[in-house]
Amino acid sequence: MELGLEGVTSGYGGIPIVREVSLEVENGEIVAIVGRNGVGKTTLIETVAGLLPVMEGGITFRGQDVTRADARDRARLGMGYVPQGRGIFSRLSVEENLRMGELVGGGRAEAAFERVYEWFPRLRERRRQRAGTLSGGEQQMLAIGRILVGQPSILLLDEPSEGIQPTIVEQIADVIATLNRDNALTVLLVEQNIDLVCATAHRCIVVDKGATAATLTPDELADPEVARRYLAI
Amino acid sequence: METISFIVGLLYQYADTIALLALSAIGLIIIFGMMGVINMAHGEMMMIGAYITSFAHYAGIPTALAVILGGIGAGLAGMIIERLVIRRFYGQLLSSLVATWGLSLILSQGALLVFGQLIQSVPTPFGSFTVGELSYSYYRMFIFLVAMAMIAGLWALFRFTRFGVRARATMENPRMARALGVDTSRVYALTFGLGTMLGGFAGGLLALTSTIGPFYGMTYTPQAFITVVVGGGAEIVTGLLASVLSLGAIKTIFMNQTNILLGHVAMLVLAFVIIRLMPSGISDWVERRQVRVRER
Repeated sequence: MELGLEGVTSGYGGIPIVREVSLEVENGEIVAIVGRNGVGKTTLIETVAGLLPVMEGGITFRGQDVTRADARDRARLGMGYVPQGRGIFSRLSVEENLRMGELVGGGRAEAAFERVYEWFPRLRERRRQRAGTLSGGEQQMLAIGRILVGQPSILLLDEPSEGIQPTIVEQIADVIATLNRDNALTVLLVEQNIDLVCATAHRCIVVDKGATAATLTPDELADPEVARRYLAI
Repeated sequence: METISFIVGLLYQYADTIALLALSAIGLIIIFGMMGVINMAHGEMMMIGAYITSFAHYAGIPTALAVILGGIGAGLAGMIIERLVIRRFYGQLLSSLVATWGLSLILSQGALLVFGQLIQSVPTPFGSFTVGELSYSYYRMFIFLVAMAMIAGLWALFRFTRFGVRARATMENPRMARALGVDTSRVYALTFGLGTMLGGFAGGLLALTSTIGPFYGMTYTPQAFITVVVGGGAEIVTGLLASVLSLGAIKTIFMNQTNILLGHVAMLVLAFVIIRLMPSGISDWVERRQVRVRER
């Protein structure tokens, strides 16, 4: 098991938002967390990344208890977190942003700039440019590329399709699927975009009111009737 | 001949003013830009640097080495202070002002109690040269070059080293930097130490031109603050350069045409005008403008 949550409760300022969530992500699996706006999906993934403290319950990652480990330690153990809004450093150049990913997964292995530039050629063209001048889609490529420069064993993606044109969403879906197939990279994905979920995920966990409500296959989610019921879109 | 000596005099004064502003502000602006903390004890870091320089000089250590020791001493003192006090006040401008002001009083009064009113000053090296009627100090020109080299070095440090890139990332978004595995509290401690080290080094350099006492730092603190506030914290190096070049120019012109007092006044007036137009400093204003132009 790559990642395990056992009865995790967490939130902001002592107010629980995620309540007693238990879930498991197997090695090499792509799991999507879906649900309506404001049900606690982002809180959940921030708790996994170590940016929010666990109030109750426990988290294990690659066999280690990381419940009390902070975000820095979890990143070094191999959690690659790509936040909502992308979290790129706008004053740094594209290349410097990529260098910031080196520590993910321990930071000892040779950083994989070339590989990232092959996946996202547009980043190579703009590597000297300030990252703040990139378009939304390019920033998303940069945020994902930055993690892949390191040695992540799990990718934590929070709404990668938000505010991005469809062609780039497709490209990102391709990269996620390829990495998963060729490198057995595990992915935990928070997403509203059904197309992206169906193109990548092996399993979908529906979250409602801070708790897990159902587990679906991507095929089930592709049914508009089911999607409407769980996501109210 | 008269014109030449006038121009040389003006340039000399300009270089000297820039050097003074840059040396007193360089450590302060690093700490402000990185951590949003104004270190009121910065002058005392310069005092520590000056004291160590003087003691080392009279212990027979070569002057250049004595100044470097002053920087190292102040850097270590800064890292201890960061760990014990500053750490609790990151991002809280007002509380950090009070806390570091207290530190400043403790350090200067402590120096007064332990070492007395004055300690032995260190003679200015290198001698002087004359152009026309006036004589100039080689050491002052040397200080100017060192100040410029320090700014260039700082730029290179933040641009090309691993530490520099991580520090700039931490400055922009500490939460994200941590989520990428950066030990942000270590970055803060090192940056604070770097700032106080440069302060101590500057204090040691300037100690060779003046008397040294417990309140030595206070001579430089006001202009250091003005320089930092005018420069802003968005881009440390460009902010510092823009600030010292503009403030230095106005001060030099007024000093040259009238007297030192009016030079100070003119500099303050310019600082007021700049802060009125760009409340968070030149570098921040430039950055916002760039963003706006791009969005159009």
